Amino acid sequence: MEFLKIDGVRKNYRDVTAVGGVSLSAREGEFVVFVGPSGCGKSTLMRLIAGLEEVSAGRIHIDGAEVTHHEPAKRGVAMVFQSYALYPHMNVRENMSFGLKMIKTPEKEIYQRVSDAAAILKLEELMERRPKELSGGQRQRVAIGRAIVRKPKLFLFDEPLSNLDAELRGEMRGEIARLHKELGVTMVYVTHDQVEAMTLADRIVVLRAGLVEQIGTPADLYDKPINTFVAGFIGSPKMNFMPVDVVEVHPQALRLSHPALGLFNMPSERTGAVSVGATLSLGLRPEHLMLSPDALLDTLKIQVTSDYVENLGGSSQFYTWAADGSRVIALVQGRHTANKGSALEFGIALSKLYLFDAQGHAL
Amino acid sequence: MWFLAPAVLTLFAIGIYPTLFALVTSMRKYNLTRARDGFPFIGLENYHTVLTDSTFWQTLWRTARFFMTVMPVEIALGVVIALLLHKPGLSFIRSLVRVSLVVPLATTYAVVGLIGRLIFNRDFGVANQFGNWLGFESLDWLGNQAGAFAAIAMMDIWQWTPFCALIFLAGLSMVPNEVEEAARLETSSYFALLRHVQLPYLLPGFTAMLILRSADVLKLFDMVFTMTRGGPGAATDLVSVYIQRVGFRIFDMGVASAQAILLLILTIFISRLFITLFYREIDA
Amino acid sequence: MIYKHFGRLLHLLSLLLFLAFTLFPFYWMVSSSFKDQTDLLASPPVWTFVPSMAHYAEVWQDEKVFAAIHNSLIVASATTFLAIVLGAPAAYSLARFQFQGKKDLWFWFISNRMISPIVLALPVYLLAQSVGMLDTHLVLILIYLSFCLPIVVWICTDQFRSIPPDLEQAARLDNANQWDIFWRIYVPLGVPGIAVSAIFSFIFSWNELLYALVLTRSNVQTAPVIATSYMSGYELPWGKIMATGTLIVLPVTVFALFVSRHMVRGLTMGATK
Repeated sequence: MEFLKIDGVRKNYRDVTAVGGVSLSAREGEFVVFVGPSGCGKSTLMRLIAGLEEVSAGRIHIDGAEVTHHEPAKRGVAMVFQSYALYPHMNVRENMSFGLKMIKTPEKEIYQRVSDAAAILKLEELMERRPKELSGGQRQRVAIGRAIVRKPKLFLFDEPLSNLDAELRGEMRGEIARLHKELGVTMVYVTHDQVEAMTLADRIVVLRAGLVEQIGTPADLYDKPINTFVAGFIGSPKMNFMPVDVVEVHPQALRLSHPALGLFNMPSERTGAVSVGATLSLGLRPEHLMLSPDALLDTLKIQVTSDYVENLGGSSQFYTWAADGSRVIALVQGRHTANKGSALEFGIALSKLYLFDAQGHAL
Repeated sequence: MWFLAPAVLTLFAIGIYPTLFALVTSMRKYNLTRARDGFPFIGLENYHTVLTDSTFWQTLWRTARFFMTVMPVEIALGVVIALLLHKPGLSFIRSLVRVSLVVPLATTYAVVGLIGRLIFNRDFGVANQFGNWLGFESLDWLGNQAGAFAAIAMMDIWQWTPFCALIFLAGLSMVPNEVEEAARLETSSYFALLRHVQLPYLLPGFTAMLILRSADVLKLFDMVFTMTRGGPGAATDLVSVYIQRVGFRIFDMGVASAQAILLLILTIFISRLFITLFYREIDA
Repeated sequence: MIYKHFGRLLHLLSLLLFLAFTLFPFYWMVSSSFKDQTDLLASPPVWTFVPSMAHYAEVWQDEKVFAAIHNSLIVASATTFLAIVLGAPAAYSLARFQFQGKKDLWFWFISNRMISPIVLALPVYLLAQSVGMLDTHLVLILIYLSFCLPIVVWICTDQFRSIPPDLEQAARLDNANQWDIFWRIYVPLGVPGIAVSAIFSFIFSWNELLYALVLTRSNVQTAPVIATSYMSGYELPWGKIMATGTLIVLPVTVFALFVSRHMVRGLTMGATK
């Protein structure tokens, strides 16, 4: 059953279209992540779901009821803000009780719920403190606690981890995942960090310039991106793109050529639309490139010139140039060095190659 | 150090020196119309005269009453206007109103009094015209005690409500957007939002208003002087108007100086009081 | 949906109501100054009328009014100038340097605003009289300084405090001396605050009545004093009064409208701290 349904939602501001016709749905209990570069409309979309802004067109349904024009407080939605947005003059307990007090919940029940939430989030010691006396991570947990207490139908997170330092971020990511498992509530999470998206999501919605690029599970997006944008966005470091020319077209394969790659065959199902002489984009993920290529079949060899190598401790990141000027970045296990200007050879399994047409669509 | 010196010296010369002079004068018999009597030192006798002068106490009481009349109205209206200006939408009108708020503040206080005199005139003043439209009889505003008091109160409200509104507006705009939004997600009640989220940000402004306005009311002279001269009778005789009369109509400088010094002490005392009672810091 | 539109309508109406409230007395004064004598004294008062310049002609011919405006201009400008010249450096010093008793000094500066003018008026009158300074521009300028200087210091200190101290460190590394730092860094960056305090000083000096009334006789009467001088007798020359009032108030009000944004900043600066 579609628990959250967004139908043709648009949002215009004067001459800017922040969200242009987005439709998607989420099942009950699902963890959906909206991801995309800044300005892609992900936060706006979330605010529309929350009711903090009015849609210019389209409809929103939550748990079967249409809430498109409902006030925020009446949608059964709770939100964790990027800046936590705790009430500065109330202590932790009051912050968490506020929502329930407003709907006239009996005192005893408020106390019970707040204590439960505090226990889940390990806030028991901090109940009497004010926000300004708390650290970033603690404030975050209070913000989450404030949301849990209301037992909302839908949980919204607006880039909650961006203000935390790296170590804390990893820890909180785990906390949020654990919370989702325990509570089983439908969650919508907005972030620009694809690592968060990949690790937390049941499904990811990739947005760009107000439109949906692709919706799918993390695995789907990684293995089968539908265009170069999604392919480049998911995965870190970014996928390498190299322009290849079509030399021959066969029903089940294409013969492609590139100065650094030589001539090679690549199996493909959709060869119909491709013509000889066309230029396509070949995608290679840095983590799939191997340094000492074995003489295995189905391995493509790449000749590059080394620029510099970054030592990451257990792995090394190579920055290199191909003959035609394309940048090729490789992420290889182990500690390696290379002199600037020296010739290197990488290998990549054919099955790990991605192919995109001139418009950037996947083939 | 030298940056500071010129200013300090100037203020010292202009501020402290006369104040000390006033202090000394307050302890002498200093009536300019009886210069023949000389200006002997009489210690605290002037203060005694002042403190036992029932007119003086009545004047103080009257000034306090004035303050208690205009303050609640100015604060209430100020909050309402601030809320109206803070609410999004209708941006052109809102900017227009915001800019126009400056007009009453820049208007010469003396002229405000003159305008007031015209508006509240029994025969050709608009106040009575408005009253008639609403079904009331024409009043001789400036000719009767209650009317005059009300008239100066209304002019003061007109002049200072915008100031109140601007201060409160500044307070409201300090509420972080996301905190307001978080509250909107938890309640749809406008009043709950007002009370729990916005009020704490209005409190410092409220304190500032109290302090500034109480000092101002004690100083209020220009508008009252031109509008009623303190009359009829003593209906609008506020403290500063009274002291000016004692000093420059009756020319009893000694007594007037004593009154002024007492007023100074009162002003300092009141501002301290308000600060300790009402001031709460807002923590981000 | 209808509810939303109704809310908007209410919002609009209340704003318009307050707009009318804010501008009414001002409007009444200006419109009255253009009414001819019969319209002016009409009972009940008229709202539509044929405008007449008679009162302004009257005022034009009265040289005292122009002298008064001229005096106000001199006094206000001089006061503002001096207040800035003395106050800005002081503000810089208070904003940046640490020294004993700084807090008290600052408090003393500020509290000068609280003092009722009456307190100073009397002794200043006596002092001025003994030195023969009554009825001069100078005495007014000096006394107005006592009010304007704290305002300049208050606002400018606030302004200067918000300038990042790193700039000063960088300048010092470039061998700038104290004066250079002040003049080349703080003054340019502090222009908003300086401008605001200048505006307030000017407006205050222009509008001030009490001291002007007390300390001037016939030579240096300022505009507000002139306005009140008509107030004797039974048949008040309302037209002339309103015209004079308009002339006095108009320049400053128009000025204020132009700089209203800055004024608002200045008013609220420090008041919400």
